[in-house]
Amino acid sequence: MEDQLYLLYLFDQKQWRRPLAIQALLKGKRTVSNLYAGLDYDLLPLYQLLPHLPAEKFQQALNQLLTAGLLEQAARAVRLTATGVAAKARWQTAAILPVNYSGFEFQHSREFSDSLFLATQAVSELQAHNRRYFPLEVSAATQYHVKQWLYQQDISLVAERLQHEWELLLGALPQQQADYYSQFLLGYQVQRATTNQADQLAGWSPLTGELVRQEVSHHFLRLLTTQAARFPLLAALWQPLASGPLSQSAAQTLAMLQQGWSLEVISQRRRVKVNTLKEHLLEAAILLADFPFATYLSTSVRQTLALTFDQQPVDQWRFDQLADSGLDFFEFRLYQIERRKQHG
Amino acid sequence: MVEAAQIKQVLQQRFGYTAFKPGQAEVIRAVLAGQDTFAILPTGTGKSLCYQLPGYLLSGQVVVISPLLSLMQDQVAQLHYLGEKRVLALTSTLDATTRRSSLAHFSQYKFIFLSPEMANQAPIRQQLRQAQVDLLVVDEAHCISQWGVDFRPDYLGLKSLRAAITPKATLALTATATKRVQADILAKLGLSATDTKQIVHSVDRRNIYLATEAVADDTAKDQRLIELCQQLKQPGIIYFSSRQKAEEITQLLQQKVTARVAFYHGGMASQDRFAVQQQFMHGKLMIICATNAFGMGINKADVRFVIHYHLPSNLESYLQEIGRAGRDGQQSIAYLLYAPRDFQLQANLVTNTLPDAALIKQYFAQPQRFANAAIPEIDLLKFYRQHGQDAATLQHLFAKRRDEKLLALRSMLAFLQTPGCKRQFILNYFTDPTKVTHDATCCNTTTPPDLAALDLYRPTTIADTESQQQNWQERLAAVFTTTT
Repeated sequence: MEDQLYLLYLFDQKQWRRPLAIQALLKGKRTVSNLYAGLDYDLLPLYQLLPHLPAEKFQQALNQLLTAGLLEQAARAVRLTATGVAAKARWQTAAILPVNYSGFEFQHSREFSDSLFLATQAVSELQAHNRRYFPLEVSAATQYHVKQWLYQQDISLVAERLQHEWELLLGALPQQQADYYSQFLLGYQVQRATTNQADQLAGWSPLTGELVRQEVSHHFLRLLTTQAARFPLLAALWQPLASGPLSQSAAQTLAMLQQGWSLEVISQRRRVKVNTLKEHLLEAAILLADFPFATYLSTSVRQTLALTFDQQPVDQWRFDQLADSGLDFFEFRLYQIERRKQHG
Repeated sequence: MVEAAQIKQVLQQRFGYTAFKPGQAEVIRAVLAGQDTFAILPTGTGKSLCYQLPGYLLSGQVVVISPLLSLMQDQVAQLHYLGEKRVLALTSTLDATTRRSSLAHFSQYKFIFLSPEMANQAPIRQQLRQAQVDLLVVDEAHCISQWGVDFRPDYLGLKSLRAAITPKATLALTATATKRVQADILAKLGLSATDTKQIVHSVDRRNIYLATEAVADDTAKDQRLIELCQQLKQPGIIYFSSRQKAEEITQLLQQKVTARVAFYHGGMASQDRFAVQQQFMHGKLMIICATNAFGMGINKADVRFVIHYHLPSNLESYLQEIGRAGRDGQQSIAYLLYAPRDFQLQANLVTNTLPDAALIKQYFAQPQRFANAAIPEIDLLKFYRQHGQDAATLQHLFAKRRDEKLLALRSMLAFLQTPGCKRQFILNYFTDPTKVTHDATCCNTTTPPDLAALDLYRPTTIADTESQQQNWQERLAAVFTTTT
C-alpha cells in the first residue's frame, strides 16, 4: 500500500485546508492557529498522531498526490479532486486507519505504553525470581511511575492479574493488530522485536506500523478508562498519566482564573504576558466542551461581532473586518471558535 | 590500605568473577592507594571494572567522564544489571524535572557519568566541587588529545575540573593511544609523567585473526560478504560507515543467508536499539549490520567475526571495533573488505565534519545568525570563539586537523598495503614493543585464512529456527511462564 495515500484522509472535497497546519497538528505542535485549524477541519483528535513525521516526507507525499491529480491546490490550501475522492473510497477497505486514536484525550499515551511494557517486563522477571536483567530504556519519570505502581501491587498475585488484563486487552483487538503489538512484549527470556522486525512480520510499511501502534495504545486506553473495574492494575498504571486535554501551562492559567484571579494579576504572578494567557484561553475554548464563553464575551461585544459576521460562513471571517470596532483578536477568535463549535 | 582479600571479595560478590583479567588488578590497587593512574589495556579486558570495583571500596563518589551518550547509557545499564541503583548519567536527554531532582540528590549517587561538555557547565561544576569525589575517571582518554582522532574541545576543561574537585585519584583509561597521544593525555589532565602510575599492556588481541581482502567493486563486495556470512562461525558484527548501507545489506543477508540479522545505528529509536542489543545478547540474532554506534558497551563474549564493509577512519577505530570479537579468548576473525573507491569515500566522510574556511569566515562575520543552528561544526566554532580565538587561527587549526585526519586514514591504507605482518604493523603504530610470531593464525599477509584450520568454518548451513512466537497468545504465555 502506498503510504502517501494516507494523506487523502486529511483532506476534504469541499473545504480548502492548509497542509502546513495539518502537518503541525500531526506532529503535536500546539499553537492556537494549528488547534483552530484542527477544529475547523474536524481533525483535532489526530493531534500528535505522528510526532516524528519528517516535514520533507509529508511535503513529498503531498506533491505526489498533487501531481497525480488526486489533490488540487489554491494558494496555501489544498482539497480533494473528484479523482481523489474516488481513490480514497477505493483505498478505504484496505487501509488501517486510527479509529480509537484521540490525541487530546490520551495526551500521554506514549509514556503509558512505555510504562506498560516496562511494568510487564518487571513482573515477568519478578515471577522468574531474576534480578539481573536490562530494563527497557524509558525516561526516568516513567521508571519512577512503574516502580511506584509495582510497590502498590500484591506481589504474589500481580503476574496472574497482569496476564489476565493483557488477555482482555489483546483479545479485544483484531487478531493481526494483537499479534503485531504482542511482538513488543518482553520479559524473562523473552526479547522484544524492533519496529522494523514487527512491521516485516505483519507485512506493513513503517507508517502503517506506527499508526497501528498508536491506534492500539489508544484502544487500550479507551478500554481501561471506560471499563476501569475490569482493569484495576492497568487503570492504576494510567492514572498518574491521565490529564485533561490542556497543556500544563494553560491548565494552570485556567485554574487561577477559576479561583477568581484576573489576567493582569496572573500575568504578574507567573511572569507570563497577558497575550500568552489569552492564548491559553483560546486553547481551552477549542479543547474544552464546557468553556464559559459568556465570561469573556460580553453581550455588547457579541452584538458587534454578530453584526459584522453573522451573514458570512465562519471560515471566511477576517479580523480586519473589525478594523474600527476597537475589538481585539482574542475576542474575534473566541467568537469564531464558539460559532464553529455551535455550527459543527 | 585496602587488603587484597577485600578486593577479591568485592570481585566475587558484586561482579561474580573469581579472577581478574590482565591489568585490572594492578589498576585497581593503584587507584585504591590514591595513585593517579594512566592505563592502556587492550579492548575486551573489562576496563569498566577498573573503576566500578574501587567504587565499592572508596567512601566517596566516582565521577566518570565519558565521550558518548550511548556508551554512558550502556555503562549505566551494566551497573543497574549488577544491582547498583546509585547511578546517575547526566546527559542532555534528562528532562528538566529529572535533572533538577538528580542534582538535588547528587550526594546520594555512587557513580556519576557525564560528558566533558556537561562537566563544563557552571551549575554542574558547582555540584562537583561540593561533592566528595574519590575517583575521577576519564574513559576513552584518547579523546582528550588534540592529536587524537576524536578530539573535542571541551576536554580541555578537564584539567581545571580536576584542580577544582581534587579527587583522591585520577584514572585515565584507553585501549588505543600512540606515544604522542599518551604524553598529551597526561599534559591535558595536568598529570605529571613521574607521579602518575602508567600501566601499559599490549594492545594486541592474539586470538583475532586479521584478514583483509581487496574486491573490484561494491557488487563483488556484496557477493564476498554473503559468502563470508555463509561460511563463518557466528555470531558476528558487520560495520558500515553509512546507516543506509547497513539497512540495505541487512535486507540482502536476510534473503541470502539468515533471517536472524538486523541493523543497528544511531538513527533508530532507543527502544529499537535496545531490542537489537538484547536479541543479539540472547542469541536470537546472529548477525548485526551496524554503524560505529554499536558495540561500545556490548559485552558479548562469543562474537566470532567482525567484518568491515567500509574502511574505518583510522587504526584506533579499527582496533576498537575488531576488539568486540573473541572476548571469550576463543579464535575469532576480523575481515576488512575494501574496494578501490573506499578510500575517497572515507576521506570525504572524515573531513566534511570539520568546518571549512568559507564557513569559518561566514560564522565570524555574523555569529548571531547561527545562534540557533544545531550543527556540530557551528558548535565547535562557537566554543573556540567563546575562548577568544579568531577566524584566521581557526582556519589554520582546522586545516591542520583535516590533514591529521587524512593522515590517520592513510595509516589504514598503509595497514592494508603493508607487505609484512599486519599485526606487527599495528603494534608498531602504537609503539607497542611486542614482537609478533607470525604464523597461520596471525594474518593473511602470505596466505588466505584457512577457516577450517582456524576452527571458524560453519560446515553446513545450520537451519534457522524461528523462535519468536508469532501470535499474541503464545507470546503472552512466554512472558508470564515461569518454566524455561
